[in-house]
Amino acid sequence: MKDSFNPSIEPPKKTVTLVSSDGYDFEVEEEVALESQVIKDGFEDKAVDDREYLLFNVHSDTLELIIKYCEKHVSSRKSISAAAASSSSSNGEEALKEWDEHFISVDTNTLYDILMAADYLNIKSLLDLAIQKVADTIHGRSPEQIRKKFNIENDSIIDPWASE
Amino acid sequence: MSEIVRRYEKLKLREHLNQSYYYPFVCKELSFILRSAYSKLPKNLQSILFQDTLSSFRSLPIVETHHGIEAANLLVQAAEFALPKHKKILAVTEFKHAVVACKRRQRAQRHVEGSVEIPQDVLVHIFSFLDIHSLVAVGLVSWSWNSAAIDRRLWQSQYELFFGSSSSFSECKGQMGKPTEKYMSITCNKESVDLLAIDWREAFKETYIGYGCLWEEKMIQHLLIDCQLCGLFGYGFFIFSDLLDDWVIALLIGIVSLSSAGRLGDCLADWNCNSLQKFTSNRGYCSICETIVWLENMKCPNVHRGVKVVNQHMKPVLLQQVMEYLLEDSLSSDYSSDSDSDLDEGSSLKLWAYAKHL
Repeated sequence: MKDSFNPSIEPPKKTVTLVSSDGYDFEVEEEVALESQVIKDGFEDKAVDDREYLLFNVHSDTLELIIKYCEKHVSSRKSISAAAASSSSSNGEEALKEWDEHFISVDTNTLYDILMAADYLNIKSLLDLAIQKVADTIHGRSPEQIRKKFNIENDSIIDPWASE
Repeated sequence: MSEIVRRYEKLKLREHLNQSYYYPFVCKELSFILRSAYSKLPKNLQSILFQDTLSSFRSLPIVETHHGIEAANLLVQAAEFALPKHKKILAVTEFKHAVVACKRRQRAQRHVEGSVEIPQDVLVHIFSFLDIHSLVAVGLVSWSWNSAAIDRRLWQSQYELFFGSSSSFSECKGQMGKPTEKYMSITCNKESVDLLAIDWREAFKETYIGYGCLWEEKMIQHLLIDCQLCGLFGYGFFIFSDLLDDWVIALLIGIVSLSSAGRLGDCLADWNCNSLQKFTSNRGYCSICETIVWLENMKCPNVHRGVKVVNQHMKPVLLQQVMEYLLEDSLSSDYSSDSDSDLDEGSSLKLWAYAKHL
């Protein structure tokens, strides 16, 4: 609506405020926030002025990472499609893959936080990335090593070592 | 001379060093090559081998699994055996550094707090990326992981991977004989509906055992796969008691009926989980790539355009055979350029002992 008053000036980028579970505000571009299916769905139901989202399950540390991821993906998607339009060859997708690889190379706890946040916000590409990483971590480890790695308590009755 | 280096590069040892799953296999292959062929190899390959040995020690702290350390131990012994004096000293020093770094890392990890509770649907999603060995392993981690790991969809896809399409389940059972009769009675009446009712985990086990009971010559290939599986299970042999009991029985039956079947029989003669592990390599020969590759879910990791994945059969390869593949040219120049194409005609029968049965 505001835009119609000032048609000559380029409209300012719409922003959305995301509030983390520990009460920090993150102002991000609408486009970036819409990477999350949950926000996108909620967006359609919301009143125009209400541009604040409370994310009860996402800590500010994690949210910062998630926003970084979404921003990167939005911008590189643009550059990839621009490159495709001008039919110039680019290795944008490969570079993005590499970036993803680097992004997800974090310790187990952070990985877990990212996984849960991606699940909660329903960001499919990030969820896939995190899940693949967890699967890679599990690969080739024994149950005991998996427990240690993910800090899981062994609550099963069958203790394979009990007989020894 | 460069041919043998090229072949060595094709084995992709270095590329798999940083993956904890492959690390023990890489170390085993390296130590095998060091022990049995180092002196015979050309100089340039010798130095590549030495560098790879060093980098595998450097990767040890990244891998940090118990089996990684064991495998590195094997490798350092092989290095002490094969390498000349100054290189030997370098290798041993590198190894000692690696072990210290590894221990330090393990200690640091113990202090990490906070338990991980992943929701069931996410767990199932994660497990769908795992191969059969890891799937069995995660099922034994905890209750919640177990209930996710017995998800029928996971086992259905494993079933399809091992025994072909799930819709041919009932056909295949007909051939299998007794072990699967129980399931036949469930499924034969109303097929389409009952595909949903099958307990795929049980079905997998049953069919697996079925393979063990019915020993035709063409099943030898499957036994080879079995052995690879079991070798991997050897990792934590008793841990897998849940599933393995039946499987071991199946395998034993297979081994008994196979005891006259050449090399494999010899390999398994002194059967225990350690020796089994020694002979397994997690390697396969891909007829499309015409090279030895690392198995990924019993499949070639390379992408083959226009080839149906289902039709892609891998020939499992023993450690000794990887070695022979590497040395083939330098030892017998007869098979030099077209060595791959005449495999099926049995000219390199020693290498592909079972190729003719396929």
